[in-house]
Amino acid sequence: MKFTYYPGCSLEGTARSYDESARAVCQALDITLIELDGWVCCGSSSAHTLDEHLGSELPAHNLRLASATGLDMAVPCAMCYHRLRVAQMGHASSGGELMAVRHLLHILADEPMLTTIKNRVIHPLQGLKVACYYGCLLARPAKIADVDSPENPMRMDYLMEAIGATSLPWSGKVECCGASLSLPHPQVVEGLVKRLLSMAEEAGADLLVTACPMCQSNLETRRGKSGSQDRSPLLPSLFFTELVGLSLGLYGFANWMSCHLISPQKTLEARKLL
Amino acid sequence: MLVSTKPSGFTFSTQLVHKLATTNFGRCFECQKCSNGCPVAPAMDYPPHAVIHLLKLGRIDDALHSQAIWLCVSCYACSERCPNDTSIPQIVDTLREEALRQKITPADKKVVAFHQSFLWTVKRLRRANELLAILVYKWRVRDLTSDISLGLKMLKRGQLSFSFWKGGKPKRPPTTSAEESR
Repeated sequence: MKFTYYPGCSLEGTARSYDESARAVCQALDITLIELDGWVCCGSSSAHTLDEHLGSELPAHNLRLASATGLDMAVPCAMCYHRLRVAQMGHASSGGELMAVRHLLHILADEPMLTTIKNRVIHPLQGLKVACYYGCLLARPAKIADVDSPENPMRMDYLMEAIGATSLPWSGKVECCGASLSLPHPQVVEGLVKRLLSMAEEAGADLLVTACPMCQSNLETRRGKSGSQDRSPLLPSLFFTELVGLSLGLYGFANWMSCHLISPQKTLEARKLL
Repeated sequence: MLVSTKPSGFTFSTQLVHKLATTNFGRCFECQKCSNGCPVAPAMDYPPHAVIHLLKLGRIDDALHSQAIWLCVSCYACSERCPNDTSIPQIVDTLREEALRQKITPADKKVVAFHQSFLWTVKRLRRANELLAILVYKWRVRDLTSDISLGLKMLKRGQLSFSFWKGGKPKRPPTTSAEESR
């Protein structure tokens, strides 16, 4: 399999370990990722908030660049995926034909990759209880996100089961993390993060698994002031590619783990997975 | 308050009228499913269903001056669950754009400052740089002290980097042979 790879800006910054683990996992699974030459920011939520034209033009520019390659696109960031899909659907409705834009999670969790991963696992994550956190834009709007169910998506759960982990049913799967309000209104995001982490803890999860840099960052950075009553429970959150990499026995895991503000080391050691 | 005290009607751009006309907000029967599922509704002055109600009452001016349109994070919980398929995030985007076009002082300056800071970096670097966006934002809202310890932690972990000075991609740590199996 061969894809044009659109990492997105966060994967060069806060979600560096997502980028590295995604590339390593794909390489291990014989998926060729060719980074889109000259890609620009998708505009994220900021572009469409302030200027609708900019919000559609930035992703459209990337789509035009990618269409020259003739390959389908693999996108790891949920926000980029959403913006690119919106732009693509706008283009499709005006009669144009473009390549498919797919989220990396969908590529790994759909057949035939799911079976391939199952067969290649050398360190099954036995005993690890995870809460799969999809967030908003991987689940909604259903048509744009290309999701199995907007209220109870299952792809990430299937993928986690395939690598030997136990994925728990819980209520926070598609709840919002507060996204870009993290800077202007941290207290709003802290409230949402607390709800999410408490729900995951209540479900008995060892850690959360995400497929979105924004969700992951908010879960780590907006747990509230230390010592305050409103502090969220201490649960690590990892990108799904990192756990897949761990189960495939990739060396990079220690390196990816060191990027996280909440280290999953103790949790994983307790389950004898490190 | 049922009647708007502010004049409304003829000061809106044709874009606004056209865009609102293509959304079906008139079909809303106020079941409030949108507001119940909205993650930021508790912090809003008008929860989503109330914004739609303002439009139905013709109080577009109040909607343009509301804080709600800036707090919306476009998570699509409202529109996905709406029995009448009202695209609230799209309506909110339209209202934001109109508010900016009319140069209405946004009811939430911080959110606007954040988005402007983000796009400021995109404009200069073609890609967003989180650290630069954060610094520009903190300067704009004159709040340089909060989040300092958090920022330092993120710098230490390599989540934020100053590499934009060199105009290149953020520095990567030496990658251990990720592709080799254990």
